Amino acid sequence: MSGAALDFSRQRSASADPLFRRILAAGAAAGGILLLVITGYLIAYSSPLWAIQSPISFLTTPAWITGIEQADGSVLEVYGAASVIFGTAATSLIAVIFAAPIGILGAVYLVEFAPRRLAAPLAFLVELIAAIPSVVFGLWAVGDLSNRLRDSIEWWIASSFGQIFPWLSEDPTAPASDSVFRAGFLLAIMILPMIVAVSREFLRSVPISLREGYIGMGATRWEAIRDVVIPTARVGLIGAVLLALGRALGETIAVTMVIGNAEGIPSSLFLPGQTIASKIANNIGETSGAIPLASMVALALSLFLLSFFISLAVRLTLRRFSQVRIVS
Amino acid sequence: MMLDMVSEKSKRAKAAVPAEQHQGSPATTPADQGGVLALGGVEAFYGSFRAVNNVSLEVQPRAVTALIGPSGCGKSTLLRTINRMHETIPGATVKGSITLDGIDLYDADVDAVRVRRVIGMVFQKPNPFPTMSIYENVAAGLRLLGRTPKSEMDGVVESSLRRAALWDEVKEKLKQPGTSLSGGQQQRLCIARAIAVQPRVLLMDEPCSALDPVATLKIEELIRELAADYTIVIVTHNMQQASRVSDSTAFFSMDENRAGYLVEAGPTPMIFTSPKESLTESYVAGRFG
Repeated sequence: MSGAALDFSRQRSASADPLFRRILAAGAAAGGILLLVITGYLIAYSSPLWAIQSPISFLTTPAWITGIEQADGSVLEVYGAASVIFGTAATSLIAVIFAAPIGILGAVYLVEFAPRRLAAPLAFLVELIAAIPSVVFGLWAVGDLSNRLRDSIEWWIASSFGQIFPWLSEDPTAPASDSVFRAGFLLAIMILPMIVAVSREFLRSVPISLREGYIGMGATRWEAIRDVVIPTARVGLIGAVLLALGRALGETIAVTMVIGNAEGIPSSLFLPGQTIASKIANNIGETSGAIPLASMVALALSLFLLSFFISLAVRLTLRRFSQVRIVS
Repeated sequence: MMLDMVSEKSKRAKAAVPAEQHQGSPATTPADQGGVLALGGVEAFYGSFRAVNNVSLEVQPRAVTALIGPSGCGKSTLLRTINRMHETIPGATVKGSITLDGIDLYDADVDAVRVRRVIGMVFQKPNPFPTMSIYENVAAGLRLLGRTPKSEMDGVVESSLRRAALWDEVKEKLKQPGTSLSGGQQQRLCIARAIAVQPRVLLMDEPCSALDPVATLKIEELIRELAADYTIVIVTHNMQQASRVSDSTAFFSMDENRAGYLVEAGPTPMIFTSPKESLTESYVAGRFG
């Protein structure tokens, strides 16, 4: 008995494969080209500044003086990014200090303790917070949160530790209307959903069999979380915090609205300051001339490099995570 | 020595505080000749679903008892009621009584966490803790009990690994992660980990189902050796395994409501050659399941 003739000749649909592959390759290449274009722009357009000031001096000088005419007729120009780099680092660190423990503990609660009917809606709510535009956060902070923080946490820290650490002091009769601390705290709220969501994924990826193995040898649930679940997910949790840190570094509009935009490194966290992003947002509208524009681009370049190294760290950390073999 | 599984709080209330059972005793043989396990009318539920119906069973001390039966007959669930792991699943409950050397493990005063220190468990898939070294995996149970001097801990780790027939293979690499071992070695590591805290009973939930035949044979030899010191209850899908390793066999099946029940139990040769029930006979003959 013979069946129909076999036919293995190439079908037309197969010829779509190379085309599809080219479209995908073009998409991937676009990403790389874009990165090169932006890097090239940042380097090229910041170069006029390097003619009058070295990059080292730019990064280490706190003063920022745009063209003041001196008595002798010369113009004084100093472009120093140190104070805005300080502001960026301080706000981001404050954000991480508050958001990392709360976010990770929140994720532990969602994964380990929340009743199943509660866990999914709670996780969804947290993710909704991430969808709130930052200008809305900024407005809320200006109108409400900022004053509450001043009268609660900020006041408490200043009155408890201000005597010992001047950088935590505050004039009790006239607290500043804006502060680095409040910007950092607002950032903490803004990055919290990201830390919860990413940590939750990594905690959930820890196999039940590991928890059961430990509980089965006489551990309490808390001990299983402390000794097995968190250590197994550890690298992922670090990745979650670094990812959120990257977001905090670049956040612009909300920070600009509450940080006070004052020049110089503030003597206390409870005084106004500014970050790289908020300075660019504030000054770009009134900047003209090659060197002042170059100074803005130089600020952008430093923020770009800072974020770049943070995301590089994220990639390297998460790569290590995937190498940790998990038995499921 | 008295079994001590009563929760700390109620112990204080009674003002009679026996010494912590395991602390400071380096040997890995059981502290005494106990290990008599008795199940009376045990029923296990997932929510309202009854997975195990009215099981009564006397388990021989320091012998191997195999629980066999078709998939879904509740044998794993029953095993997990013995060390009170069943109740860690949300909505899961247990009725009936399970006693170990006369103490009801489900008594209101009994702390489930302390029950699990006396009744160790080995799981279906080897589950060494990936962030812990081979040494730390074995030491994990003792660390939970409190501080143990380094020299003593070294002794327990070595004797447990020797007992689990793994020492010669890992003594040069105790600091490497437990997950770096092969599947069969990982399972023997999990057995070493379980016996390091000197349990009286070892529960094994299909311990060889993820292993190749050679590794399976090694685990089976080990189970035979461990039976000299521990009461072992093993769930297995593999009837040859049950006949090779066990002294007694309990055969389970499912009733019309899908609840598992005990068909019959007895010495393994009897169950495999001249069972009382025809259902057992057709199962061990491979006619269903």
